[in-house]
Amino acid sequence: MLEADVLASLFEEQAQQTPGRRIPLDPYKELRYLVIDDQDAARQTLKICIQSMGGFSVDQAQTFNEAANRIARHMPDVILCDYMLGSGRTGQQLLEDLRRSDRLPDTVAFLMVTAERSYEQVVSAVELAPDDYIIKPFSPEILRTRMDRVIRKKIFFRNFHGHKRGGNFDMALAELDALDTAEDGKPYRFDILRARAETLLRADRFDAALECYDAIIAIHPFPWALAGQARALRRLNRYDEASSAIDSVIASAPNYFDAYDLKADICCDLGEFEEAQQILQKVAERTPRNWRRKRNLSVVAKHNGDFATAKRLIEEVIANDLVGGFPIRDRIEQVRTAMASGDRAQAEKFFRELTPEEREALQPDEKLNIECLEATMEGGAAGEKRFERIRAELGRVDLPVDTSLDAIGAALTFSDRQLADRLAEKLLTGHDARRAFHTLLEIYRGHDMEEHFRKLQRNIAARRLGKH
Amino acid sequence: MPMEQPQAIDVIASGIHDAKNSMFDALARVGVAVQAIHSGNAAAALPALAEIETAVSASAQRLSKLLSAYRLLRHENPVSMMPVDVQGLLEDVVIRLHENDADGIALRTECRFPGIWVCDRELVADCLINALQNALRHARSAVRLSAEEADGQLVLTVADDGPGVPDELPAHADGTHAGVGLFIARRIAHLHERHGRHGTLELGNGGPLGGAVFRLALP
Repeated sequence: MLEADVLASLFEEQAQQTPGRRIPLDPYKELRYLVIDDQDAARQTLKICIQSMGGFSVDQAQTFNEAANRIARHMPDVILCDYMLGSGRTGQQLLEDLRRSDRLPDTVAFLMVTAERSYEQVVSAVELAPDDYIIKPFSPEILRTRMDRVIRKKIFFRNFHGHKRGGNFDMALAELDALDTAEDGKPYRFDILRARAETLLRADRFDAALECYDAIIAIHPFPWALAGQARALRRLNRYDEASSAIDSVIASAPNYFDAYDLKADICCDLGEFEEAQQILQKVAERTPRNWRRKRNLSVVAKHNGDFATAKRLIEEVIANDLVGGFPIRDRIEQVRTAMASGDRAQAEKFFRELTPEEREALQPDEKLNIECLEATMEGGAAGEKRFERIRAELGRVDLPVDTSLDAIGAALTFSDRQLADRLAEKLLTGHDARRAFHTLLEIYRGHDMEEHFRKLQRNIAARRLGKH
Repeated sequence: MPMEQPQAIDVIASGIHDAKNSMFDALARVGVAVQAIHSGNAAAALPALAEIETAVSASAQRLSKLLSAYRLLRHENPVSMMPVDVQGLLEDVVIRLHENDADGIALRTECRFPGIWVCDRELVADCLINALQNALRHARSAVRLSAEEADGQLVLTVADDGPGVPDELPAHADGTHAGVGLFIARRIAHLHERHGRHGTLELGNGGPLGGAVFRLALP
């Protein structure tokens, strides 16, 4: 992949000095292309098309997984992907998996190619849209024109993409302000507005994000903007409004499946896991190869005590999700499910099979999580010894919700009620309070401490009301 | 206004009728060509083949229009609204047009609205291509495609310097066999709705080049 500045220097002079005119062919020779289509003939046609516009290095992939592998090994500059990839997979799914798992930088141009007119309904609704889409059949001339435009846009936004990718949200937002007033920014005003809303959401600035989405919705109630609005409202704990925003997305775009995921998330926030499971189950039937959704469904089923479903789904995810997944986290979830359902053998198998190299490569919170689970499973003196080694660390760092819950389980197992209560209190006063509540109650109940948990909860409530 | 269902079916039926006639036309010429080749005079088959090509291409185009009309009727709300760069839309339309029709008529585009408009990119492009094809068929020497904002609407205009549309055409364009493209265009215009205001399509005469004027206004 070319660095953004190199790309800019290749294209920029022409792109900026001759707005509305053609980029000469030469720069196209420097780019790396990846063509993804399950049909040989279609791949060849696309390849010829690219070569006719000066392209030279054209890589090809036939399947979803092959595409993901190629992208991981050699990041291209331009991806041309057919919408229908066979075996029930779509290019849109590939794009979403790659973007969500941070495996496709914003600087790479992703163009969807499709014979399906119905793809327009998808692209106009989704939050993660390709840079452009082209309806087949098309001429090399049209491809060229569209590619010119996409590359111009990439160059225009390159500093913004750089800041955003580096997590410098303030600088990214400042760059958007600068671009908004730039002379050549006129055709991009709407993109700037959308980018601002998305960046504010990423930066956890929910009030400002909400304002931004409201401004977009005033222009047109795009399903993706309503979904963004719902996300912001959700994070502001305005669940009823979030829920009704998402209902209006589902009403206007019933095939926009991400909306159902968000709806299920909101149900989980409210502790309504059964409804969440129903929603996810229905959508998962229609999207059998969407592993992200099945992963969520597995977790929700576990919360509902539906261990058979949870177990089956997480196994399916581990066996199949080679692109969007985090293998170790899925396996941790598998252990969690096994332990929750009392399947000790399965849990032991995991710890046995975890190689020293794998342990070495764990993120700090993953490592802590595995230690907590392993200590709990071992129990007795050995387990306590293991727990002792991480006890201080658990009290010090900010843990993800699931890890916190596992740590609380371990703390109660080894009678460290103080640590357990401290972590529980943190969860109950945080964003994920309602989501964690049900599991917390189960954990305390499992240690015959339901009364104690209720007291803890009452204390927190009293403090919140200022009566303490 | 949206067309009543029976009327729409009539439009489709007359379109099929035309496509069928073109095909029979082509079939008759196939006979001529085959005979010429059998009698050892292959060169004499060439004009017939050229006519066959024209007839088949006309009926293929008509059928694909009919398919669009059918789809527009079938779905309750088939528009995919998205932010569209108007300048880019006009460029695309001209490129796609030149792939099919490249004759001696000067086509000028004029974009007086350099920003983004929310509309269905593909449907509006189809609509304009159809209008431009008509204009190019009837123009003497010039056709103009333009975009501007007027009264809170995006107005896309195709004007030519041809003889103009007959007075009686606009009145019953919806129902006559010439009206499939027009029917589609009206339907597309109507499907664009914003704050209760629907898009409109007007067909008239005069305009900047003195011929026919096709004016699509999107709210």
